[in-house]
Amino acid sequence: MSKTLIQPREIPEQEELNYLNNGTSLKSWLLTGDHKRIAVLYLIGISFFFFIGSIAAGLIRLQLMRPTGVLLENDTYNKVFTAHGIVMIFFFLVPSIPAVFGNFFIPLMIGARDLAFPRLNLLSWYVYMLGGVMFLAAMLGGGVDTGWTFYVPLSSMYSNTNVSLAILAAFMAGMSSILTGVNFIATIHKMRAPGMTWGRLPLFVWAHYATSIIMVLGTPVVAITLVLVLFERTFKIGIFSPELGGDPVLFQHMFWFYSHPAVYIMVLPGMGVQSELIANFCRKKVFGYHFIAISSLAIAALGFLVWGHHMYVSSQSMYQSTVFSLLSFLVAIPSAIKIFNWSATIYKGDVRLQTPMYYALAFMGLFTIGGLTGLYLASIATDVHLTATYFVVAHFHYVMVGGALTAYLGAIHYWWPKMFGRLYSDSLGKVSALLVFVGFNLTFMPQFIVGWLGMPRRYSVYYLAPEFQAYHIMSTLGSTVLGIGLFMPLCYLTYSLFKGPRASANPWGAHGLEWLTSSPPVTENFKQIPIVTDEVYDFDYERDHREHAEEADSEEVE
Amino acid sequence: MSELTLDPHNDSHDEHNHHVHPVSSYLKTLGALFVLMVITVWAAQIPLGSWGNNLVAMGIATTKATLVVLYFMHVRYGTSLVKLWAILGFLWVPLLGFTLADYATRQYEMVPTWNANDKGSALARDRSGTVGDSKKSMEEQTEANVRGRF
Amino acid sequence: MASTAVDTHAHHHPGLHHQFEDIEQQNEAYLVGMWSFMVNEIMFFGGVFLVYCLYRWRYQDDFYAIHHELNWKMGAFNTTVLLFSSFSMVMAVHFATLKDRMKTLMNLALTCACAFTFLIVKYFEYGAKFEHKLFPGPNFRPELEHLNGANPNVAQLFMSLYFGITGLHALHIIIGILIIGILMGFWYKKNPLVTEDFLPTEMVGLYWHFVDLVWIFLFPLFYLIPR
Ligand SMILES: [Cu+2]
Repeated sequence: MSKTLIQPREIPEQEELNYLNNGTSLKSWLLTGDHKRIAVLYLIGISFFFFIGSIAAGLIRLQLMRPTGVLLENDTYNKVFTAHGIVMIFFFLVPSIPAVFGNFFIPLMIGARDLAFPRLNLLSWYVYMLGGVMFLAAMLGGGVDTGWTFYVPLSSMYSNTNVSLAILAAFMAGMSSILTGVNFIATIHKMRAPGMTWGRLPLFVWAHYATSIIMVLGTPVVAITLVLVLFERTFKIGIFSPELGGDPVLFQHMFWFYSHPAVYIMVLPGMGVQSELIANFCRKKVFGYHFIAISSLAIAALGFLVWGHHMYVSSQSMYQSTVFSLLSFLVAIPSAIKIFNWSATIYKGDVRLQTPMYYALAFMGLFTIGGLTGLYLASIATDVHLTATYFVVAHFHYVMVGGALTAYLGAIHYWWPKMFGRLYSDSLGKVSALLVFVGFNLTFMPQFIVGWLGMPRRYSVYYLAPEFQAYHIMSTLGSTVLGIGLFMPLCYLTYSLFKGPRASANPWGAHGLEWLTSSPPVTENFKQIPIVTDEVYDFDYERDHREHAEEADSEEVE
Repeated sequence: MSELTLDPHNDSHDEHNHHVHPVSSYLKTLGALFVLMVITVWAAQIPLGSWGNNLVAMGIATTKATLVVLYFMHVRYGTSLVKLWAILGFLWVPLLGFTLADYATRQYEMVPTWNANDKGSALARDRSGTVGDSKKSMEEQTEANVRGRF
Repeated sequence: MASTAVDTHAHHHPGLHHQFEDIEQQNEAYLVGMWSFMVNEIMFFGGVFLVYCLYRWRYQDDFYAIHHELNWKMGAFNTTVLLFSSFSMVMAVHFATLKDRMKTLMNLALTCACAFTFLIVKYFEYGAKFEHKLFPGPNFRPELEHLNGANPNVAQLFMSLYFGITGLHALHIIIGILIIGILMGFWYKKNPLVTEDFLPTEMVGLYWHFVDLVWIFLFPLFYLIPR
């Protein structure tokens, strides 16, 4: 670091304070514009909703232990799986990585003081929380039984549960994600530090750019669709219901136009995390950096053209189904580009098996299984057999949990020292990562089989096929292990907040602007806006210059 | 970062920003918009066939929209990024195209509904005619559909 | 990673937020944000346009019949008003860049007046529909003469699309009036946020042109349905 630094406009008293202790009142948190504090607020909210969704998942698994059901009435079971789906998708997976880690690290990674619109960012958290509270109210006030897809005419005509409130809640979650997307796009375009060219952007930022485009372009369509369902439910006018002259398949078109790309809202940020983890724990520049960056955009673009693969068994035209099937297969290409490039990065890398790398490796395997089983569902003939079976459930859990959740856990273990300035126990982290991996596979691998054999999803009982019980018991057992694996980080990470050893600015020896600031970062991120002169993931350079940089750091502190 | 002075007395400021466009371009745009509006109303009265009127109306509307976007919203003089966003605004066209293509290529089964021109929701039904009142009504439906404008 | 400081300017723009280096970066970021927001709005309206297109295609004859209930003269008048308001808005932006406070205020006031005119005309249009019991829902009981031979169910579908889409558009007009009013307040108070920087006015202008754009498509789609 050069010593000819010019201090920018900066209030001198703030320099010792980091973002966590710079103001401790509740108001300083609830009215903050600091992207890092908002990310922490999101982390709290998202963890809470993840907990709620997990309880619902546990109830589902418990119910299916016996062919005649264990605990829940049929109606209650419907409400429980709906709650699981809506909470996990709208209130956990969609905001998870973008709103927590994207919010926290995009400005740090591109060398900005904050996101472009801090107040919009805070607003998005409030909208998200408002939506969450509304859904909790809908759940406590009797629940919703339509499934997270809100299919008409059940949702608009027949269901007499709290569909309207749940729809408004999902609408709110969508608004919040639009605000996040707009913010990220403006930030990534205009807030990059000098020298931070597009070719030097970390892949995490590239992935979030693609994600934001989907958020901004896709979410409004589902928002208006849900508003129309609400309209139909309230005024009884025929937009989607066939008995009123509407068309239920039109709802599916509009719903899946968003909800297929929403899969990429959930998994693209995870792929961004994956690129960061692989680069750091293999001490190598990511192989095929440009291909991975462009493949994120390709996934975003292709993702908008494949929604019909959810509708093969609706009345969709078979010609249209063929087109959608073909386009769906094409998505495999950019996804495979990523997987192959990560594998090539690991090859001959200086691999360091620490907790985040465990999650990164798990992601690669599990996401590959999730993606490949997707091909069964993208081809029309097999999909007709597999639609609405546990095969589908297992497939998207491999993508959502094996992909997005695993990446979320990897991200939290990778950036925890930076976010809170504390180190956690790496051995406990490894144990929990292994439990998550084993538990997850034990939960969902049997579901592939039982789905292939014909177990339909969303059934509360299966006494006509008692031979499925063994698979379900395996699955429930696995989910228990998974639950323990997920509960452990909650304990040791919380413990580390108070008792963990303090983290240095760059505990992993990682490369990237976010590791240049202190841990935890100061309020405005950088004492001075850095000028980027080296390439992204330039680990050789890093090795050569680390000592020099540390010297400069210590001098600066003095 | 280029040094940008914001002194209002600095005359080079406006040149630097390219923000000031001649009022005449706005006036011409407004004139064109009014003329196009009159043409739309006039063209709607002339029968041009089932597709003709729609194409004319939508063509004129698109022209008007393009004028507003280019001149009133300054996209013509904007950065390429702004132009890119203006183009991204057309993403809903594939949504429209793909969805309508589905409806255009479906193989309909006759399902009696309250509207004779409705081709039915095309849910999987028994072709033997167990759905519906009678064989006759199915035939009437078929005939109505043949007469339909699809 | 090498890093040095970026010099910041000796004198700061009054509206410059702490996260930006200079007003130019801030303005560009706001423009990008505004454009992505508008594309998001286009997708929002795009969804209802899809619904409209499908049912218009399916029920062309009934749509043609019932569309006579809409007063195309009022629609054309409103189109003129909105087109003109777009012009006065762009003139407001023009004078804002020239820092001509009075002319900016006048043009903004003109835009606001147009917006109110639009809403008043819309009020009378909606009122006629309510009077003829054409509002969708349980109270949809129009006399035969007001159906013009259209199937009542399709007529109701048409009316719900009409009220849904134009209502959504009117909501955008009302929001537009609010933000133009706030902008005028800023100009009136000589707030440096707007007088020193044309961008807030430009952003409000972009929003207003977007509202105009939507109406450009709504007018022929609802009022000028061909046989
Ligand atoms: Cu899909």
